[in-house]
Amino acid sequence: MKIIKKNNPILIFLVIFGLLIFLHGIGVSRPIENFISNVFKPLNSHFYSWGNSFNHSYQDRATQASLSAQVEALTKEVALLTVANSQEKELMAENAKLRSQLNFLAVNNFKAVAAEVISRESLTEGTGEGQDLIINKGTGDGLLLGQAAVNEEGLIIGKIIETKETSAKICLTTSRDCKLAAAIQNSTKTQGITDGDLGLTIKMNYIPQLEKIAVGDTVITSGLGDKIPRGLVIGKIIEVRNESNEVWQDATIEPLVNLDNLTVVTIIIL
Amino acid sequence: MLKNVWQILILVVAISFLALLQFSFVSSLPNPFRQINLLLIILVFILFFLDFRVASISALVAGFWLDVMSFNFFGFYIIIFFICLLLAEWILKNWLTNRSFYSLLVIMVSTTFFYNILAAAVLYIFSTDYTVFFLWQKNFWLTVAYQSIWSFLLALILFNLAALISKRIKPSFLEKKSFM
Repeated sequence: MKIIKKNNPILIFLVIFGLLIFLHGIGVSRPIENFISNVFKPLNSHFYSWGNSFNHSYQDRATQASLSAQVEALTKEVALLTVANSQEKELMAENAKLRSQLNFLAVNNFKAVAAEVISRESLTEGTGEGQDLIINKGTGDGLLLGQAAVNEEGLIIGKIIETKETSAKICLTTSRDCKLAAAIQNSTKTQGITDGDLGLTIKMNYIPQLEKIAVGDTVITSGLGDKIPRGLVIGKIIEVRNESNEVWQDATIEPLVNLDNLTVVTIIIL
Repeated sequence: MLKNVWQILILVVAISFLALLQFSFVSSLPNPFRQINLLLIILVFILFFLDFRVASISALVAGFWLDVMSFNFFGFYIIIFFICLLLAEWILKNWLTNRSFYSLLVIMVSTTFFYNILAAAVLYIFSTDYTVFFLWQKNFWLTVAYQSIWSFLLALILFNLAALISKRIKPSFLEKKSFM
């Protein structure tokens, strides 16, 4: 029996591996694993921030050439937004009056948990789109599957798809299979499901032909998912595919936030 | 061959640090850079310059850290790293006649390729999240290509660094003498 000879590294490895799996399976090693995760969270956050800073400067260099064109476009947009803003102020005042009259609940009656991004799972990136974020808060902090993650401006960036006691995994809105119940802010309040498209944009399929949607319409969460509130901005429509002989039309949505540079996210707990 | 507890401890600390670096730092880098598979490269390097036993301990430590922190099923990285080391050891013993620079390059690139195939296959079979067959995905082949290039480049750097520090891998040539 050559393989069972003394000090065979393969055998020793397999015994230790089996033991680790067994201890993990029966839950004995979980406290140790959670302890390790908790202890090294600050270090993970620092490492992620350093990498992200490098990411920022790398992207800045790459986009410098297109900045002048963007400035020109933004100047025009600012003028348009100023007009829109003044109209919105009027509407907000009117809205506040109506809310008090109808005794509405406060708009932000949900709790929120701030979390730091500690990783993006890059070692298995070839199998997916490599977009998932890992944050340093988990079920121990009250996080549950399906809860919405927003950035500092309150724009939805994704939702929780997996949880551990000390950490959670978030799929980004641009990732495939990251589905959100959504509504378009048009005259008919079109509803549907958004899904990530190649890690770059978001698509909304199966919109009936009769619905009037246009480029520039804002897409928000519809609130039909039980853990995601209504009204979180997903993005803006940049393309509508509308064939007269088709039953459905599709829309491509662009997120309003750069999903590559997230370091802090907020989880909304309803 | 590791002879005492201190050497094992230093190895464990160093591999743990690299695992944290891979998990948080490398993963946050922009795209071509985030494909570096630092741990696999170091494991193969350890196998190449030390021995299979030390490489196995390193694979256990590295895999354990990644399994604790990541969201794949527990044991995923430990077993993947170990199988990759087994393959690398097999190539070293049966296919390569010496431990030259070219041998390191061959072993690095082939192990990187095998790692990606194996990891994707295991996830495809055992995880419900991966529904599209990986071999038909452009993203998979891009990842393999990037990782292979990084493995090649880092093998180049590490080998030359090791050559500077150690005398074990200095080239030796038979001198041709004239008998005239």
